[in-house]
Amino acid sequence: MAVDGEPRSFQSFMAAEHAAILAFARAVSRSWAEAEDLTQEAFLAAYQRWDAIASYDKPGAFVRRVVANKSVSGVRRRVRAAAAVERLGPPPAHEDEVADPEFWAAVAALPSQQRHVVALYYLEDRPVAEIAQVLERAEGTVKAHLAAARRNLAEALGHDRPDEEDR
Amino acid sequence: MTTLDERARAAAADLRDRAGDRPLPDVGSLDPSPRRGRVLAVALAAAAIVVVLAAVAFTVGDRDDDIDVIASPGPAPAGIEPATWSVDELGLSVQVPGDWEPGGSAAGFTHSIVGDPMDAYVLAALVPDHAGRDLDGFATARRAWMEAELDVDAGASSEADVDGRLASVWEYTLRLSGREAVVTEYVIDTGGQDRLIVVVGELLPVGQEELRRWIGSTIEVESVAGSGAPVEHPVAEGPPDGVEPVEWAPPVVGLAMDLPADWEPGAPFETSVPNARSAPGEGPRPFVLASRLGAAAGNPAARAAAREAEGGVQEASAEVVVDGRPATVARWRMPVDEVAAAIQVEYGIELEDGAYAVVTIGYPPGVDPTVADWIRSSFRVTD
Repeated sequence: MAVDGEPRSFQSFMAAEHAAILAFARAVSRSWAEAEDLTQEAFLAAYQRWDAIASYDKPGAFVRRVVANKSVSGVRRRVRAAAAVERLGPPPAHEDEVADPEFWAAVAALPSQQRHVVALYYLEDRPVAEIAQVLERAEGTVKAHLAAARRNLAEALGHDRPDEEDR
Repeated sequence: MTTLDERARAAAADLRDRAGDRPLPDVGSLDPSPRRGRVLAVALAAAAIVVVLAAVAFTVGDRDDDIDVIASPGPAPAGIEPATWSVDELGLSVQVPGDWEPGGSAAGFTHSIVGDPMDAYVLAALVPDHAGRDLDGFATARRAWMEAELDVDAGASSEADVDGRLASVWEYTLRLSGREAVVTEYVIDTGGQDRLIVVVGELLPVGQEELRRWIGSTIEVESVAGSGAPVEHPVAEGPPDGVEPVEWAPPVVGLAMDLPADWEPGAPFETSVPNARSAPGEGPRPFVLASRLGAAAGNPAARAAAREAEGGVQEASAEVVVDGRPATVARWRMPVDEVAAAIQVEYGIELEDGAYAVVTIGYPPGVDPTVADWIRSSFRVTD
C-alpha cells in the first residue's frame, strides 16, 4: 500500500503487522515456537516478493494466507515443530503459556479451514466478508466453516451450542 | 455462565497481548538493498533451516584436507535400506534411507527430507544468482555470510565433481544454544544462472558421518525439464491415442472442454473450487479446476498473488487468445509435498461481462503433458 505516494517499507509493514500475524500463527499452530517459525517464513515470503506485494491494498492478507497455507501439512507441521524445538532448545516453562490452553487445544484440533476461519474471526474480529477476502474463499464457504467450527468448539469445551452469527 | 463467544474473545485478547509482548525480530539482515540482494535472503533462509534442523559438533577428522567427494555412489551403510528422493523441480535425485520423510519447504529451502527421529536431513533449493558471479564467487560470498552471521566453525572447502558438474563443497560445524550439527553443503553449477544448493547434515551425538558422505555421493543432477520453456496455448487437435473424449461444460463458468471419459468428479485435494475433475486413482494425479471469477479476484495479478501465497513459483506466462477471447496463461511450480500436482497451468480467459473463466490444469512432474495439452487446446468459450 502506498502512503502519501511513498511505497511502504518492508520494515514498517513488519513492525505494524508482526504481533497480529504471530497471534494468528499461534492460533493455528500448537506452540509459540512453531508460530514464530511460521511467522518468519511468511514474512520472508513477503520480503522476497516485496516489490509486488507492497502495492497490494492489503499486503497483510498475503502474509496471513502464507501462514494458513504453511500450517496445514501434517508432515511439514511435524518437521517445523521439531525444528523449532531444535532451534530454540528446550522451551522455558513459560514458553507456551496462554491463559486458556484448553481453548487453543480445541482450536488446534479443528480441521484446517475451520481453524483458519475461527482464528481470524475471534482474534481479529473480522466479519465473514473480510475473512473470505483474506483467505480467498467464497463467503458462503467461510460462513459454513465458521458455523461448523463454533459448533465443534462448543461441543469440545462443554458450552451451549452457539447461535448463528451473521455479520 | 461464560458463553463460547465470551471465552473465545477472552482467549483471543490474551493471545494478542502475548504476541505483542514478544520481541520484533531483527529485520536488518532482510534489508532489500541491491548490493545484498537475493543471495543474502537465501543465505538467511539457509541459515535458518540449518539452525532449525540441526547443528553440530564438528568431528570431521582433518579439516585441512580437501573433501573426498565420491563421483560415483558407494554402497549404502550397513542396515540402511536406500530409497531415491527425486525432486523434479530441482532436477535432483539423491539416495536416502527408505524411512525418511519429505518435509516440504522450510525457512527458504524449497525441499527437505528428514530422518525420524530427526537426526539427519537433506535440504535443497535452486537459487538464482542475479549478480552473475562464477560458482566460486557465489559460494565464497555465501560462506562469508554464514561465518559472519552464525556461529560457524568452517571446515574444508574445495571444488569437486558432482555427477559431472562443477560444485563447491564445504563442510562446517554450526553451534547454537549449545547444540551442534555437522553439515556438508554442495553448491552445484547447473549450467545456467541457477545454483543448486544441497545440504546434508547430521545431528550429534549420534555421529553418522558414513551416512552423510554416502548420501552426498549419490547426488545426481539433471537439467530442470521445462522450467525455462515458454508457455503457449496449443493448437486444437484430436485426443491422444487411446483417450476417449467427453465434453465437460461446468455450470456458470462460460467455458467447455474435452476431458478423458474416465476422469472423475472431484480433485485429489481439498478445494473450494466447485468444478473439479481428476484422473482416476489416488495421490498426486492430473486434474482440472474451473471457476468464474469477478475482475477483482480473476485478474492476472490477483491470481498470481494467490499462487505465490501458496508457495508457487511462476515459470512462464503469456498473453494468448482462446477461442477468440483474450486470455493469460501461466505455468506454475507448486510445492510438491501437497497432493496437488506440482505443475499447474492456469488460464484466465476474459469474458464479455468483465469476469474471468479461470481454469487450472495440474499434473505431477514427470507425467507426459500430452493429455493436459490436449485438454487446454479444446477450450471453447460458451458465454
